[in-house]
Amino acid sequence: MPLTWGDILQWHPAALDSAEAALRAARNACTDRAGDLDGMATPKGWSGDAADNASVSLRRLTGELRDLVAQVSAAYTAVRDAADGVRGVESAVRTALDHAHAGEFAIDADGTVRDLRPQMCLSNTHDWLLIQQERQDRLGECALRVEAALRKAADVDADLGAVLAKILAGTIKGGDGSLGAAAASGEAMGRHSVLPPPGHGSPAENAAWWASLSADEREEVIGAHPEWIGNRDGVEFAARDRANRLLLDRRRAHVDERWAILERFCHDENGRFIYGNYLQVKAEYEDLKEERESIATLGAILARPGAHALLGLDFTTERTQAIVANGDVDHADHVAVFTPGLTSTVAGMGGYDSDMAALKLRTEGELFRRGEQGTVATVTWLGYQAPQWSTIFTSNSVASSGAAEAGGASLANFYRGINAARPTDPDLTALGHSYGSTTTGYALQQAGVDVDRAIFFGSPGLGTSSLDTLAIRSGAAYYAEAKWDGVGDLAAFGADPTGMKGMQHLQTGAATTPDGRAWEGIIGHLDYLKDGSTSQYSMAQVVGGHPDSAVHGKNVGLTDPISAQDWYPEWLK
Amino acid sequence: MTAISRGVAALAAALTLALTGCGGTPVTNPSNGNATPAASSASPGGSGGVLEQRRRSAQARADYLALLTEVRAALSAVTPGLRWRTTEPVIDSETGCKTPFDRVPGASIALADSGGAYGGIPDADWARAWSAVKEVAAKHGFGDEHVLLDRPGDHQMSVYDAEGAELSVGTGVNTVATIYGACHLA
Repeated sequence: MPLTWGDILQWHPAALDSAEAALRAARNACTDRAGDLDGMATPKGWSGDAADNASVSLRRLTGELRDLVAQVSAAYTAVRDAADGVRGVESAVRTALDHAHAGEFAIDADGTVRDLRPQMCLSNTHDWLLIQQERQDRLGECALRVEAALRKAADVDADLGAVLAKILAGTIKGGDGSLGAAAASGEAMGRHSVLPPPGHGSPAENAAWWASLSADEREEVIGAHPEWIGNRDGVEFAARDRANRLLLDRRRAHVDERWAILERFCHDENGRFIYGNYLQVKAEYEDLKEERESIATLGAILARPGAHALLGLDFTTERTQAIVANGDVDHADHVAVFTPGLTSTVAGMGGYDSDMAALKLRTEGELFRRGEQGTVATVTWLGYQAPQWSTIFTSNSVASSGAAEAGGASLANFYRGINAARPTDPDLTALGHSYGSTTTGYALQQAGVDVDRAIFFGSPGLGTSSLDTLAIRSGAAYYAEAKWDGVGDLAAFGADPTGMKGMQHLQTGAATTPDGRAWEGIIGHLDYLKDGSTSQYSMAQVVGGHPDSAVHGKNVGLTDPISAQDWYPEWLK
Repeated sequence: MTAISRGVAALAAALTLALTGCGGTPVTNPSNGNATPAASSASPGGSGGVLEQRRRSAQARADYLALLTEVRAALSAVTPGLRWRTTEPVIDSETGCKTPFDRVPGASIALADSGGAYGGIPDADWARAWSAVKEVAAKHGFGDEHVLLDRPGDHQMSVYDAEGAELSVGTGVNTVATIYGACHLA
């Protein structure tokens, strides 16, 4: 009979822990007999039939003892791993219940998830549909967690049952070696493997899988299979950070080794560069060079003081991709994800990381000064192939939306992963600059991203001409465009955001906030996150959940759409 | 948008970006902690040369923490009721530098935080408090004063040093003091 939610609510590892202790004692008692058996060897000078019979009996007895040791050891390991697995089930049940509680859902004994929150009525259809979608997603997420807990329980049950069946069938043998070897062999046969993650799992499925692992199993995954989780959206970020640091170290060792070989190959004994040899290995040489620079930048960021975390790392793409955080994304009250644009590389990520660290600290300072305790984490997301000048005539060109669309799909999963990995969603803000705003725009056109606010700045377009296609609530999309920022007027990927209906506009010129503070204006395409600027101040307000305190207003130029001009009649918009 | 107009727009995008560049936040104002009058080049040699003139990052970190310790003491002397959240100032984080120093090996910016104190500084005491802060800051080379906010119950002001580091002090419901450091070599 299949296990039910009601069954696994009763599961506790205590009984298995007791059995494990008893089996360990039994196994130790058996292996301790090894000395006794040696002492029972045929005495010197004893020969004849009786001696031969005694010798045969002893060999048989030893063989039986070896089998017994192997079987007890297999049972011990199987029960130990099952106890650990039950801890995973407990964890899965606990997080499912936490999610249900936080989301106002009920889980019935048969595992059915019910929505307890009364339906909301909103006059704004876009927002109503969005809320409905979010509720459906949350309910689906909770159901996935119930399924993952049941799957884990079934896996634990099946694994333990299989080992016990083998013991009963007598198929676990101790071999011909020592009792110690028999014990080791039995342990290996009784061991359960960690349940691998779902193939191509959604962030919600990944989160449910991660929740179904015990603490020991998680440690095993981080240490032995870091590649399973380094880029797996939905897995808790602290674990991803640890896994990615391991992967970074491994890749560094590999790259350094290959680099040394190629360097020797490309130089003569006097240290002169041999261009002919370089041409033979050019592709790998250039790849390694790019990776070395990326690894150096990431290594430097991670080695510095502060809550830096490596939330994503990918060397399989043409250019290295990475995601770097300042702060604790697993627990921060406010999380901002910044996506940079053209020419962004991991090797050059230091400046963005600096911008995000300053934004985090300024936002926290603003919150604390006004009497709030909110914590903030900021993320630089370079999990896509941001176009480069060198790729302008390729499919990765800045003139094409291809990179933004592909990146948008990955970015959407990152947003979903933030919400899925935590029992309660953070206050999440998407930040997109230049081509990165296009990528952000495509990401927000996907369902279930559950982003609370978005700030686009210096944008050549959001990949859409209507904010209705974005999965964020009305009034939650902000746009900042500075004077002399030509990129913001290109409208290369959908409408110019300056003229988009429903867009909130952030001032980029010098401004005085209602509280009397004076902020510096910026011009051009690159200074939106400049310290002390109006735009940085406003971003801190929006990220901290106080968009009303941002400085609103737009800088409309002659190259902006007619509908955005101040003189254009409101009724025509 | 037609295919032709999309092509023209894309080409315009490429040209515009070529003119503006797009690889990070460049530095044009001393207030961001990276400034240098001659540092328009991002070449490590040129930019690194400017940084060579500065103290090293370890020294800068120590100086920032020392200054914040003095700022805390100065503020507490004026308003003894302030309750600091941490026993001492901390380096909140250290990051890479912004352009033009973003590719200089080993160059970094430190962000130092006083920890913040529960409680605000009463308006009647603010002038004295800010004066005391400026006095200790001046000993550390901070002097370029910017008044951001100065109204009843709400004050926020900054002073900058010659390298562009900012000491920001504010008070409202609670009190904050933070240094957004300049770029230094390791």
